[in-house]
Amino acid sequence: MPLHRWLRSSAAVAAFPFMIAYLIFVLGGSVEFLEDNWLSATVLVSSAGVLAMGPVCAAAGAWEGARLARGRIGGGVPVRPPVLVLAWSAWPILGGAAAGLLGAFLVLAAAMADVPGTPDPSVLAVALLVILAWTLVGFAVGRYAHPLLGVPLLLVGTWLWLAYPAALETFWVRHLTGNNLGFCCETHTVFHPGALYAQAIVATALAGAAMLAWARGGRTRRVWAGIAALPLAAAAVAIPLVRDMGPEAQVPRSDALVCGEREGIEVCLWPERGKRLDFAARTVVPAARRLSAGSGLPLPGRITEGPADGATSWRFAVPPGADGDDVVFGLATSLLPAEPPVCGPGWSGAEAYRPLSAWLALTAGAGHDVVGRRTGPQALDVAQRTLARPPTEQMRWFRHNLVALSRCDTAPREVSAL
Amino acid sequence: MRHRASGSERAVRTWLRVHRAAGAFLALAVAAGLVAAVGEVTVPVPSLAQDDPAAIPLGLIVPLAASAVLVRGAYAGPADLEAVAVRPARAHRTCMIILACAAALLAGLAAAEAVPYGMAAARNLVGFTGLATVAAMWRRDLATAVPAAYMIAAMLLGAGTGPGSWWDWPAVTSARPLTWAVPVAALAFGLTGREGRLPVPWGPRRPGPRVRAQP
Repeated sequence: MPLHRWLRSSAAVAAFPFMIAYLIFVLGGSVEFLEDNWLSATVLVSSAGVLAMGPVCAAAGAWEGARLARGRIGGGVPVRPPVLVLAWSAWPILGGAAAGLLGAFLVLAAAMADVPGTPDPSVLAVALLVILAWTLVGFAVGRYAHPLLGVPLLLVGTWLWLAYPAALETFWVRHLTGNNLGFCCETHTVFHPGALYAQAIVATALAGAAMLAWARGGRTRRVWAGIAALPLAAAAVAIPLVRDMGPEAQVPRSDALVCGEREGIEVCLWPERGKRLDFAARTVVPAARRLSAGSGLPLPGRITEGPADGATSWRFAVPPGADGDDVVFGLATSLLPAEPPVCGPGWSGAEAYRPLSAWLALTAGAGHDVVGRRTGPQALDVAQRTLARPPTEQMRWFRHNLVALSRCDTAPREVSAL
Repeated sequence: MRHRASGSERAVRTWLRVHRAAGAFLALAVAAGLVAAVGEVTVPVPSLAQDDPAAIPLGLIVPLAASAVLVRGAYAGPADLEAVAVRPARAHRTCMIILACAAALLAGLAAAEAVPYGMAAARNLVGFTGLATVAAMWRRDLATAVPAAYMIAAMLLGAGTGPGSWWDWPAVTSARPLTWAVPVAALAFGLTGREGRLPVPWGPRRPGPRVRAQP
């Protein structure tokens, strides 16, 4: 049959606009939350793709499966194996999904133009596997259920499976579906490999059970037992991989860093940002010396984008497009606690965060414009008034307010009140 | 003495069996139980109307499954034979759908106090079934895909816009009268419209004007 005629008769033609519309819809509001790394872009595209295409491909599969069943394709003495028959009907649907994902990547590539790196192939492969699995499940359901039942149940059922676990307080369920909520990961983190394995295992089992149901279903009870056992076995393997995970699937990154030394201080960057090592070292080493002198903190031996303890090593970041002031601001604010203490209502320590950030950044040598833009005019004013005081008073103010940020029983104070 | 069924009674029983009436009403009962048990559990849905995902109660979604089973049963059977049958097959189908919708409404009214989204769920059942009957005028096998697609579109585009408007009724938790307009109109149109004739430009061509017999 001519290819265009084959395509015209496929449910993919009707499903494709829905997939694309939903994909644009899901992606549209999320691009602004992208982190400055390609893993985050890959997770966003794959997550939007799975949520937009999984249900539609499953419903289209149910339609095509029912169509093939009504045509009694598998009846009599077939000349083609069932898998080949299914593949011919499935490829327009899966081709549409792949084209949609490719389009989404091209759109994101424009937004990520300045970011070094490439899409993460493993995250993308698992997303495609999840879409394939649900398409095959659609075909298997379509073989036995009328499209009046199969199409809406697959469309809404798959959508519920992908979307609903996000509302559950039992976090591990969400890591099995393949819809990764559109977010992961910050540059110093990577996608939890256990979650990726679990999603791949569940999707493979679903695809295997669906293929078994399509090719051999209805013959013997043993086949049906196999169809039921596959997802159960997958759950038994996959659930322990994700059972202890929290709401997000990110874990600290353990890649080797690219390091260089300047004035006795080691400066380290993530490998994809290694080209800016000289710039980073020239910027942060003098800033660290100024910070150490101004705050009384000991000078670290290492300044790094990777893990740092805040004493012998300080943390900073050189995101794509960042200038010297941005880098210095990041280095300065990394000295503040990352998380607030667990206090009851009425904790006033948070009021110290912006003035301390402004004072640290100015002490490190960041420009007034950048500091004012990031911390606000009031915090900048407090920091400037503090900088006008003698160094010992400034240090006392810094230490008191640093304690206020990490304890529940200490209120922040102005430098004049100390 | 054993009651002997009349011909009409046997015909209706056969019709009910062919049209899976028992399965349809069982699905309705299961759906009602689910709405009562987990109807308030919410599903996060991406929404164009707000930045955060909208929370849609399961009670608004469950009726779609019951409606699909009902429509599958109502439109089962040999359509060509029923079209020329001596028995009023179409009236039977209309009765089955109206009875199912009425049962859902009564259940919703009876449990309005105890089940928060009972009436909204009943409205959605009426609406989904109505849309399916309208779509069946065009293509029977696609009938239930239309309400499913409409539901998802309404949740994406309309959820979170406050009290809701006339068109996003599948995502509206209140059962105020405006949200009943489309469901009731769709059901009325779907049950009374001409079979196989959807009055849209892309519908099948109507036959030419009738020629009156000359006296």
